[in-house]
Amino acid sequence: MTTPEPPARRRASPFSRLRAAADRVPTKWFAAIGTGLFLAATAAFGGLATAAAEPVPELEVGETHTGPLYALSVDRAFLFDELAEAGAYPAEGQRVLALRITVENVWTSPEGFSGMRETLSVAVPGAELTSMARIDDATTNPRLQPGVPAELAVAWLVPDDALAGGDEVTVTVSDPTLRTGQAVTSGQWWDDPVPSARVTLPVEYRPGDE
Amino acid sequence: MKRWLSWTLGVVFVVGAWLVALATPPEDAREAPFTVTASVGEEATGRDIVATVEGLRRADTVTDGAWSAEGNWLVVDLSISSRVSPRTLAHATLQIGDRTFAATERADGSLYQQGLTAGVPRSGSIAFELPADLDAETAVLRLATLSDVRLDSVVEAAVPLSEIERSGEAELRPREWARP
Repeated sequence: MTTPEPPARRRASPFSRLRAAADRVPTKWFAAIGTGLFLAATAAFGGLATAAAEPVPELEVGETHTGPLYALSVDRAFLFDELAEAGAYPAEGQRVLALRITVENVWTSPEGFSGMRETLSVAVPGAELTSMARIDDATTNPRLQPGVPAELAVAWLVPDDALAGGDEVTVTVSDPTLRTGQAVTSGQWWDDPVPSARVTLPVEYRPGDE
Repeated sequence: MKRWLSWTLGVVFVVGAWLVALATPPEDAREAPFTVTASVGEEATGRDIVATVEGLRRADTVTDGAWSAEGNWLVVDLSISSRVSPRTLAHATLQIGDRTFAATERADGSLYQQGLTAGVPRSGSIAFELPADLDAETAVLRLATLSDVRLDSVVEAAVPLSEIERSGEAELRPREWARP
């Protein structure tokens, strides 16, 4: 409730006119007007209804998504009974879901499995990310050097009945945020992944070894 | 107070504050590592590290026994020991511009992450896998015997990347204890 300022050229002091105008403003209404404006603004943004999540873009299989840490493409998905080469040791009633990915570290320092944990997830109930390994020489949980691309197998342990060959699996690629330690913490790490792309691809079942 | 005096004092204070801000070390300076600078072939001694960079090689393929890998490789031949306690060559990085590279863990025969004994040098190699399109003249090699280098000694050596001839293949030096 602003009052237009009276023109300064009039004979009377502009301040006395302003004060006279301000005195006529019913201050008791301010709380009600403020509340009304707040409710109207809230209603305009959808009120208390759950906000619709922003749709995450779909990637083609093999298409590269570039985040702040990794630029990666998901190339294939496999289901194995075991995959010791990649450091995955399923317990009774578990199998191994492995994604074949091409990944390049686009950050400035080496980063490995902990960054991958913040980047890739699969929509399979009960899946737990267990390890990753290079495809060429089977180095487990390698540190990826900046600007050096690598082909990796990333392995999850999944319940026996969660997936079968021919099923589709949806992989979410997230963009994590870099944190820098202060005061009692030190160093830098990646945290708070925000889903930023999705890939859906068929799972190929390999009963024996790779 | 005279008008000119107050102005002069004001300017002096502003410039003084600027100088103090300029001279203030960064927040992590109080736990910065102690750097020992060395050149190739020269022994460098820190609190719990004695290291000599004996050679620098670049190659398109690195081999280590049966393992080999193609890429843009820098091989550093080293002789290294700890000085007072059993340690590990846990920190071996190469700084190129604003990027940091760690020694590769792909070659099992390298000295990286190997145990060190006080006073008994081990010799061997570490290897760095670099981007194929790397276009840098120089790099800085850093070695330390703990992965957390805060307030510890770090041996630093300049690596003249562009001056090192690139060969087709380089084999990692076998890991050996020094024979006195």
